[in-house]
Amino acid sequence: MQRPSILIENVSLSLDGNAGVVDILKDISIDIQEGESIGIVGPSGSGKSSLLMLMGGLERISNGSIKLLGQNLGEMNENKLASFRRSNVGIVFQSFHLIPTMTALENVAVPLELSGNKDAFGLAEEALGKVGLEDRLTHFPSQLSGGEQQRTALARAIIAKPKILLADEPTGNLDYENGKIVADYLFELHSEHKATLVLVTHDVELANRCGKIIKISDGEVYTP
Amino acid sequence: MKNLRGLPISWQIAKREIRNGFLGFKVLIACLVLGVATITIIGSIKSGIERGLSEEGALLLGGDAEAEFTYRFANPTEVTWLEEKANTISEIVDFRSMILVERETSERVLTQVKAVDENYPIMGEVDLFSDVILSDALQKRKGLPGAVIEKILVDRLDLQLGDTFKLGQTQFHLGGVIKTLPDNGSDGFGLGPRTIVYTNDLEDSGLLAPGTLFSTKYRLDLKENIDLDVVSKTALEKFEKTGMRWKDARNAAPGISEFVKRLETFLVLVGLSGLIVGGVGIAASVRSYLLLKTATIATLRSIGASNNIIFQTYFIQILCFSLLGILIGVCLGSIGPFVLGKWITDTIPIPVKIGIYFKPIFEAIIYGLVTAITFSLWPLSSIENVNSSELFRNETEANYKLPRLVYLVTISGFILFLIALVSYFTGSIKLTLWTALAISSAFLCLILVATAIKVITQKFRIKLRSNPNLRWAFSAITGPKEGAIIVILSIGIGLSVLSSIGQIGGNIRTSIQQDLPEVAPSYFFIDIQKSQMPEFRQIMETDKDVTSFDEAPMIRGIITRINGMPAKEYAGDHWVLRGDRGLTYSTKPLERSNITEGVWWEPGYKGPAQISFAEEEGREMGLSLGDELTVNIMGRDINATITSFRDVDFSTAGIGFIMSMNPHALQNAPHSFIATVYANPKAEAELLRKVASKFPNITAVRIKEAIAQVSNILSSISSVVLYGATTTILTGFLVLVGTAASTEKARKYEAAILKALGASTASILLSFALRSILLGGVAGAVALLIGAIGAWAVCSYVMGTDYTIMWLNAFAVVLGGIFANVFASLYFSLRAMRASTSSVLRSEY
Repeated sequence: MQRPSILIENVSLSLDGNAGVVDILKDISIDIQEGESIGIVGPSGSGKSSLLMLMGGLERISNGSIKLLGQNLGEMNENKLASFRRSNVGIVFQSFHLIPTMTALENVAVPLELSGNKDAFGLAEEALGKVGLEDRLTHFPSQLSGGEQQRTALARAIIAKPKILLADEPTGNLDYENGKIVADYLFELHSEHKATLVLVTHDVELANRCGKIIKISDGEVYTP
Repeated sequence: MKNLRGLPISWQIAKREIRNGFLGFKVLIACLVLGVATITIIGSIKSGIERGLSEEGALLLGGDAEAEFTYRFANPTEVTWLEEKANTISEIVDFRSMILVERETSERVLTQVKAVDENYPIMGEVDLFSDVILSDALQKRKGLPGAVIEKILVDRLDLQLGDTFKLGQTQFHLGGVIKTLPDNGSDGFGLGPRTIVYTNDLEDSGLLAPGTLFSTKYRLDLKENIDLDVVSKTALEKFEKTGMRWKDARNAAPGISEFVKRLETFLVLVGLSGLIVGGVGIAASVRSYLLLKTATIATLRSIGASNNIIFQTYFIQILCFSLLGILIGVCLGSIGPFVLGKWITDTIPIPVKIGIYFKPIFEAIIYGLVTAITFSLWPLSSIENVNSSELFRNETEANYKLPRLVYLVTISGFILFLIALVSYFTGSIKLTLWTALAISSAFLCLILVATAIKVITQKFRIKLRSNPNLRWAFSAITGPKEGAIIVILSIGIGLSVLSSIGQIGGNIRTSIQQDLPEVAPSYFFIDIQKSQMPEFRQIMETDKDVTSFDEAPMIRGIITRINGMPAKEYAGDHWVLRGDRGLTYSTKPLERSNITEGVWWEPGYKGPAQISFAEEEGREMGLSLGDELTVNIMGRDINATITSFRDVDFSTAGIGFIMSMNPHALQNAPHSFIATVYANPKAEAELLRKVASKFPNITAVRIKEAIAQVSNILSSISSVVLYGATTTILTGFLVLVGTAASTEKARKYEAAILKALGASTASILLSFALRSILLGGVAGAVALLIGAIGAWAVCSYVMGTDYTIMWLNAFAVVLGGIFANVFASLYFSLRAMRASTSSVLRSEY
């Protein structure tokens, strides 16, 4: 029997900005099973990315609870969250977010270095090979194209074999061709690692490749 | 002119940009404020001292003019001439002697005696404690003449008013305690505290016998309508050849003026090194600002703005903010002396007229402006090296190339202009050029090391796979955002200055306080009469605690002419020509003195006078064998030919004479002997008691006390220079903070990614700290190396002492570098850690 990989119950997120308190997410409840692939779609500003950030423990909820692999993120401090992410979560961002002062190989090796893996660089080389970047190991982010940067970020996200893979508009900054290549790699790696995939996207075609789609509108799960 | 056509539009655009505030220029403004304020303060204090010396010159000198003679009183012709010029004359006799207080255990201490007449002081007042006036204090009581003594000596001897003591063979009573003397500033350096007595009361003391080391000064209250220029010229024409030295109120304390000028020059150079460190901050600030403005520049270019218009737009902004910094600096620098007023007047023993002076303000403005322009040109020139499409790319991808030749030539021109300005304003071309060379070498050295560090960290970081924290730190140093060169330069220059001063000062102090006492004699005995020498010799030879002693006849004389020309015209303002010098005669060269050129006279030589001259000083004065020197001794000119040069080692504080003549030339002139005595330290006091009770006229100078006095003076100078150097360190710290602030965004970003990837707060902070420690440590180590090389050069070639590394200073410099960088970046690292990960990662970067 499958168990929930991500369990979100009555979650709300309010942020205090210059214009006062803004409700970003309102009473959201989602149950995602192990190995599932979920596409989260919705208009800009609907709260999709915020929801993904909450799932990654990068943002704190205002109300409700989020459990990943049975563990309540709200009960963890920053260091515990970091440790949990290191072992269980891989994240791909729309803006790649590679460390500009590190080469592609070094960027990919960081999660394993953090786990104390002695073969971090060998596995990083392998991971980069899987996304077709075996000849770009010593290149800095500024020396890579957008597509190559996102493939590097993808390799970094899956190198520690996370049980959960979160992707925030992974093709949003790429042209059609590069976007397709990155998406293919993403789904290929998802199948290979049997990781739960949560994909935030505007791209309906990309969302349709997921097993299930959740629509978000104005901070709420949209039920037609 | 074509290039300036776009100036109005550039001005318009610049004005609109300036409207947004000066946030991007905080470091530039702060660096200029600090540098300009320091230079203004130093210059204003110097101007205040100059004004004080000039306005109160007569008071300082103790008269409108002064005629000085060595070893003798003025002769009747000279006195008559002086009386014709003056309403009042005061005669002062200046010499060293020993105060003897007879108690159960008698005490003898050195004092600088000022024997005066009833006209003293003709200007100003001698301020005594207990409201006693000088003439009353010096009156006879119970048949004993009175004396007044400086408080420090009274306290040391534990004397009360009315207590008695001896000077030579005469007994005095203590009539008063000196608080201040009006003419202290013009008296120069004395080895002991002052005692004032009436000259008449010394008649039977045996202290002013022929050949005794004393000088006489005739202070004049000149008659009205006497022109200082004319009277000075006449005095020198008539009496220079008889050994009269003349000074007047316009230059009452030449020693102090010269000292203040030298110290000020040194401080201005230290201040300038602060401004140069500020220049690094200016360059970094301009570079960061232009990177922030990349989009604006790109937009301007895309709508048709030329390179010139863009350059002028940003140059105008930099100029405006620089002027703001300079203005604030000048205001603070001008207020500074008023705020420090009490400390200044308490510390400097001469009148300081604190005020607003135009000259130092003007100099500081020029220095600030030229530095700002010089250091902003390089980053400004990079605007045109980046094409329009590149301008829209991420700042890490900015394309850094060497500026075009025209910029390099302009920057070089400004650097040369700055050096020329400093040379002109300080009047010390040689010192300025050496400083410029030292700063440029330090600059080059630090840039090379910073570049090497970047290359090394890039090469080695891959080998640090087992230590991710260190590897991340290495990666950050390699990347352009961490600004390794700026960090190392900004800490390195300041620490190099501090390290040099510390190493030089430490070596001089070691040499004086530790090495010198080991080789120096216990006592210098002076004023030993020829008739006393046999008995004196016998005491020294029979005392088992005396390990050795040297003796030499001693006469003082002034070199007036060299090869028939006035000496100063021939050899410049060499220290040997300033005032009178001791000279001796001898049948054979003194021990520890080797002939380096020429030959010593035969024993019993009775021909024309021959002279053996100190080799180093002779070379500096341009002398060679066969040159003829005219030496004025007690008013009589002796012409002598240089027949040899000798090594003279002054570093051991033993007997060393610049000039030695053949005995026949001098032995009939009235003179005394000096002796250096090396004795067991425990027996020094007893030896002094023995000599002093036998020969009350002989003065003993205890070398350890003289060394302590010189050490104190050196410590004061060293402290003043260190205060100056502190501003360089402060500026460097400001630049570090600026650099750390400019990398805050990058740190936030890096911290956010690492956190997202699962790094703990501690490991991220450790990585940030490691890069600070590494860069700070390297900067400190290089600064130490630069300081050590500089100090070695100064010790070996200028001071002529051995150099040993001062480890305490060395560790302080390296640790200083580390702490400065860690502290500067700590705040921004903590801020980076506190930033919300999601908001950083979701913001446009």
